[in-house]
Amino acid sequence: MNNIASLFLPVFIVLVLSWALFKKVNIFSAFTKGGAKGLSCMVSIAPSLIALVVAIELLSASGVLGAFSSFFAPLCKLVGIPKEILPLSLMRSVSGSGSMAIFRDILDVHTPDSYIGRVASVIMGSTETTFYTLSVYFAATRARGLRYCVPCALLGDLTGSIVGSFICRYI
Amino acid sequence: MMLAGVCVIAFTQGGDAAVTTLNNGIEKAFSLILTLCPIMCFYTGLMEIAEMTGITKIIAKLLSPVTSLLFSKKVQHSPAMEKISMNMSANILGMGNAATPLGLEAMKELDSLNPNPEVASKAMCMFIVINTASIQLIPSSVIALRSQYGSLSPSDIMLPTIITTLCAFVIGTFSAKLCERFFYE
Repeated sequence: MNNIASLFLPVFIVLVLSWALFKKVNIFSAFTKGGAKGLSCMVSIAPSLIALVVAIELLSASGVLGAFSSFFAPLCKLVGIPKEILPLSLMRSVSGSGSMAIFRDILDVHTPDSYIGRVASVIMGSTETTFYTLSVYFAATRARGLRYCVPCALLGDLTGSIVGSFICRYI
Repeated sequence: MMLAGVCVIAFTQGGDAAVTTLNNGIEKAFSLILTLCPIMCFYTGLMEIAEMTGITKIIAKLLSPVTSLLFSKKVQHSPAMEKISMNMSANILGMGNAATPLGLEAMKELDSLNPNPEVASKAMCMFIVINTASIQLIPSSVIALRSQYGSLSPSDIMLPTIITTLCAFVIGTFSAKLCERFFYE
């Protein structure tokens, strides 16, 4: 299965390039033109990106998440998220490397084929680092007010944790 | 967020810890930007080629049954739609590196469509929610880690992962649609 996944990108590149050859597109000039666009986009988002990455790092190191974790524990029991999973599902939305460390720890302690290990795997595979995505993507826009975006994205993450915990009992 | 983080760390772990974390964050931002730069250039370059051949239009058309439910008519007929579709398909196929540059380009396009640039538009919120729920067919990095930790069947989480991610996607986009009504009408 893994091999199939790693084939997508090479196949896509070959497809694009051969099609471009067939259609007689000037490949190199198109590539440099697009690349220049990408670079200028990158430069324009850099300052806000730096601010947000630093802020997220501070948040995840401050231990606020740990406090959240104990606060939410009874609530999570209600919706069926095991307490071993809670730190992971909270960290998952905030930091990619942080949640990866917790995930490795869970695999180590509970083994990957246990219920806890499987729920952790599903959560890692099914949701994205929400705040990272938010900060990188909104850095490209002029918008400063995000309206309902954060709650909706987090609701998606929460759904992931609940459904993941539920479904692993049966499949 | 930054203020709260600095205060909490300075209080609970001392000023030194606060400075260390601050530096860590800056270093992370630095390496993120440095690694993202060439990735960005490469994939936007590749996409420029794909655009010229018309492949992006085909992919946008393939995804249109789903995207037409999520985005307004105005966005669907804009150049942003191609970028959005390409970003979604890159996510689905697990090409994470390709997805981010495409997403950024899509956000830029959406920004130019936004009548009130100070606040996020409907389409931006929807697009972010789609991305954070990240539908992915084969979670290859998780599968690799599982086998590294001695799993007997590393890929048996695939089906539950797909079901879970679909649920997260549906709930996320549905709530965003509801909020659209509430906030904009």
